[in-house]
Amino acid sequence: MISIWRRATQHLAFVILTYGGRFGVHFDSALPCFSCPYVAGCSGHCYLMALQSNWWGLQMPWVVLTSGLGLQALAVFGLFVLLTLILGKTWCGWICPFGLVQDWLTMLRQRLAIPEARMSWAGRDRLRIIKYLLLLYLTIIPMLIAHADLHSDFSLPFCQICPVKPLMPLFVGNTAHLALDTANTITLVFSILSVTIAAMMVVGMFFKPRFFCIFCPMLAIIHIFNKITPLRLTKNPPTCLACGNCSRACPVDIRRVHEDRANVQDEDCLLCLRCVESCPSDRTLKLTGFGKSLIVSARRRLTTDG
Amino acid sequence: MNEPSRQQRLTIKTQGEARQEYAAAADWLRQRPDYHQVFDYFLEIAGQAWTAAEVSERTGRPVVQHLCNQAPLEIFHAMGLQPLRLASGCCAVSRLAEAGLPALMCPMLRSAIGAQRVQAQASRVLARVIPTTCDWTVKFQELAVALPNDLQKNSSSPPVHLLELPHQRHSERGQARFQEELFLLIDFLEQKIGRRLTRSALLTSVNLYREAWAVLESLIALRRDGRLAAAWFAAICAAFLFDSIERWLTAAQTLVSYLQNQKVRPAARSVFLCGSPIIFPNLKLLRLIEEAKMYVAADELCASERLWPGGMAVDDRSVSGLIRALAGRYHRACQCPTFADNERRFNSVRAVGLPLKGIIYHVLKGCHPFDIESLTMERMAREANIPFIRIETEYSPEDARTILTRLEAFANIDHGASA
Repeated sequence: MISIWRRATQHLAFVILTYGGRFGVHFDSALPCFSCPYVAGCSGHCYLMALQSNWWGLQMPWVVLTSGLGLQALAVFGLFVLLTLILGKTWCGWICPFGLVQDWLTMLRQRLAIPEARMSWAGRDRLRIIKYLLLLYLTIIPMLIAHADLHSDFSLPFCQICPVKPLMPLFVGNTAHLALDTANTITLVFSILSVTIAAMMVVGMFFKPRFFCIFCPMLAIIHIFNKITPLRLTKNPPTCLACGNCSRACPVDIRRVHEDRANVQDEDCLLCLRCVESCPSDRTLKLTGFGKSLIVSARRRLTTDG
Repeated sequence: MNEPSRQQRLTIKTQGEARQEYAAAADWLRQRPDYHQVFDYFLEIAGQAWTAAEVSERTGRPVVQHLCNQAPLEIFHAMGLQPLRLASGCCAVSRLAEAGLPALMCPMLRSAIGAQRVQAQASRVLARVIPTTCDWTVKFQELAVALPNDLQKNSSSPPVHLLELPHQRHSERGQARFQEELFLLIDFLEQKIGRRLTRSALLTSVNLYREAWAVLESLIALRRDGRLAAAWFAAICAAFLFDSIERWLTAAQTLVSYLQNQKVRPAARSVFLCGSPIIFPNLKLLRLIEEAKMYVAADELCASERLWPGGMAVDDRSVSGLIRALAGRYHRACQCPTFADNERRFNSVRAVGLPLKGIIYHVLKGCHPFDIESLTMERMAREANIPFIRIETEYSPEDARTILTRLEAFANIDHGASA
């Protein structure tokens, strides 16, 4: 049942965020999910673009940063933090349109009965750092442009290589971002990287659920606020029978949820709640909000949902 | 015509005693005030010592005998085979096998070997699958071969596949190795039946067993609120081990509907039973617990509530995804004491969610893993302030009076706080 609700929410969010702008819906530029500004007519923008930009982000020169525009940038950041705090990782598991695209590819693979690609535990752990490196990359380059005269074609460095940029506009019939930009060497290299990464991601996302999420710097930022977000995934260790359903069902291979501890929310957790749904022990895994139980694991759920 | 030898006469006599033992256990259940005809199917199946040939004939499938809970039943079913548990609770056949086997052997396996020895019909067993849980199971075939069938001079033992069990279930290596073992099992069975396992057949079997698991869960819930006695539960599980899943499922669903319309009967002295398996017709301990005025509201026995370890969530429905899920259920979720990383086993007690009078820990003499783990369980029970009693016994009824006295004392002593 949780999966049904989640799918419904994801599809609704996809339609609103991807096409809502055409009907006058606009959520500004502070969304903690991949509602891509390169999609014409989308109803809100991913905050990563604002963060890297020279209008509300790190590429602003000091003089602008200390003016009224600086306050506006702070306001956008504040809105982003507020949205992140309210919904936490549910942005990833329940709202992100690119997350749904990844889930579609997984569903297609499952329909074709093609096995999921497996990673070794050590290999999977080694990939964790990449999202933080990407976060570092997307914060340093804009500052180098603003303060160290790096060429302005390096602007929006993450967007230039983000697979969302060439892929999401396809849903509004725009294939322009699949083309190579030959304006100069920098744009050419970025566009080659962009298309190559997108192609690799499509293959990766087909064989591995939520493959892109492993590398997503947005997940890294949301995780920074995780300690103070009211939504948490918790566990009652004394009732856990250690069956391992939770970690096996997890799309991003989190093993922490299986461990004998109360705080099982991992940095890569998307709060998709598949672990809660697949847990066969009553009241063992639960999603809490402001200290109250919102969704709890139940034996009966597994007997009916599978 | 040759005169039967002394050994053959003894074997034929034991056959009769075994039949009586099964019938006596079934009759005892029929005499109970909570008997209803809805239980008849379970009594019919559990109340007889079925041979592999009879099971094969009844189910219309070649039989694969297996030991322990770690051999995935879904795989056998999907390959058109009938799994048949090589476990026996019969005291008569255990006695018959006693002379040729080690003195302190696990009674359940001794009885299983004895049961094979008295079968008069040709084997009709396609193969034996033996998970290497304890030393007794590893050596089972060697011991079984050492005791030939007295009634079929030319009988040969079926081919054996040892399902090697990694004894660490929470490590990456252990999980990967068990998945590999399941693929090897499939290869072995495919060679035996001459056709390949298909994804659709496996998926059908997985769904069928999930349905059965859901029914078992309903029965467990009915047991918790006093509507299903442990002895009935033992008969239901025995029927599951010796009949086709489809027939069992139909009968169990009917039983659930009947019991759900019965009044809830909260028990005053609920106990949790764990330890070595209790297999029909060996209802000795269950009868004694009842006589001591206690109610087994929950258990953690591998031929009872732990028949299927955990529910199975399946997302990846490819063959390898299904095998991975099965490996998770039969290895990682299994709480057999043979595993090294069994720290969370006591959680089964905590998960019951009922006030417990205490824990009764059953050890069959010679069942070493459960014997070893009783120490840990006792310590954990003490830490949780739950009274604990360890009953070490055999299949024979001789020690019944002593056990009853101990159980009555356990039931009547005011232990103060409980779980």
